[in-house]
Amino acid sequence: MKSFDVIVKLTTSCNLQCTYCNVEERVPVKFPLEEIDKLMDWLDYAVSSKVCSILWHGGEPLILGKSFFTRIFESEKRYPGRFSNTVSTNALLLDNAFIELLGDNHVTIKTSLDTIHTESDRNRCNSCALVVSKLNLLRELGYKDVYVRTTVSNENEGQLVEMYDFMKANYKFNWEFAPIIPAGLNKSAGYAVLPDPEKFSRGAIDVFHDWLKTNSIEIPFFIDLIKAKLGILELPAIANPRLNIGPTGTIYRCPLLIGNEKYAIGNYLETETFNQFCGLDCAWETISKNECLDCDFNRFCRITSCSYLSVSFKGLEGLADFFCRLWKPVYHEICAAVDFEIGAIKKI
Amino acid sequence: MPSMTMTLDEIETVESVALRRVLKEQLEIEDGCSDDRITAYDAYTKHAIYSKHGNCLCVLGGV
Repeated sequence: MKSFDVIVKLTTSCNLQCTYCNVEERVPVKFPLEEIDKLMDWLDYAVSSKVCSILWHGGEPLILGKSFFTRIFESEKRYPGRFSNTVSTNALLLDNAFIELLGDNHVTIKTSLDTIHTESDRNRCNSCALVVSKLNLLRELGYKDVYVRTTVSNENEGQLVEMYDFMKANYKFNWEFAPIIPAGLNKSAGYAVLPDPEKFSRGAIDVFHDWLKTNSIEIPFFIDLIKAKLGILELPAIANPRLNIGPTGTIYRCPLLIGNEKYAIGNYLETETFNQFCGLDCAWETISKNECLDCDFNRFCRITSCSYLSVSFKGLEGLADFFCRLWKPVYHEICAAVDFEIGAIKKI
Repeated sequence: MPSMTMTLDEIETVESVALRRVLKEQLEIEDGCSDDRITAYDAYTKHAIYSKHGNCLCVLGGV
């Protein structure tokens, strides 16, 4: 079953002011509720794949309220089996009723928890205790389809193993982690917000080895890398083609550039022609360097081919090398562990 | 999808629990006779959907 990905940024408004938010400006814009049917009709017409996988994004999408999402799901039900839904939320507005609504409509929840120490959570407005209470609520209500992301900065750079232990001990949710990107409103902070690469790598490697032994929690990123190493999953060299739609209906080449008119490529309200938006890779500009082509880990690398980073890194020279120092030891360790385990049994 | 060339007996000797699971799931996907084929395929599809988001950097930086 092939799906096609659509990211819809419903609003630029948010109830937090995270320092690493990719929103360039905090000018509140909201997707018009009365346009929801038109959006679904257009997607049904435009997307040829059997399933259209929509990531509802913001700002904070839940700020639009239960009635807004109820309307979305009603609209989708006119096309049974056509749409699947994920919502990217800071979780603060999740309550029993909202969770019931999302659960009834089989929505995947993606949220963030960077630390369990309020004093290390300035990037997310010291909201971690509240987020933990929401994760506990999701657990109590038996919500399974949850992804929790830990963004690692200079504030929580030494807490990766602790976060892994916390997630492992308390939840059955999927967990991911990644370094902070100085971008959006936080770009001016530049290098100051980055984690120490050695601390990040060491933490990631320690987490990997425990996870490999125990498989105690879902970490899709590790599974992807193992599959890529085994040759059973090809990681895309460039971002997959998809639609990135802003609150005004404008379509952009990259979801993180929604709102940046320089990267707008049209508006779905003004055209019935889908092809001009589809199949576009967004690698119109990347930070890949010649030496990357010869790197053993190039096929795992999620840095060099990302145009958003290419755009974001302008004026912050050396960040590509920084991320290389940070990830490469992790890739190396994962590949070595797989080779060690499998090599003795059978050469793949 | 590329094929994997390990048998179930070989996979059972892999010590790491997570790696063993990945290999077993892949074998189930490739084995059309498995009763769990549909479940495994659905799991793979779901994961693949996530992967497409995950492999683009749109999800990095806490977005």
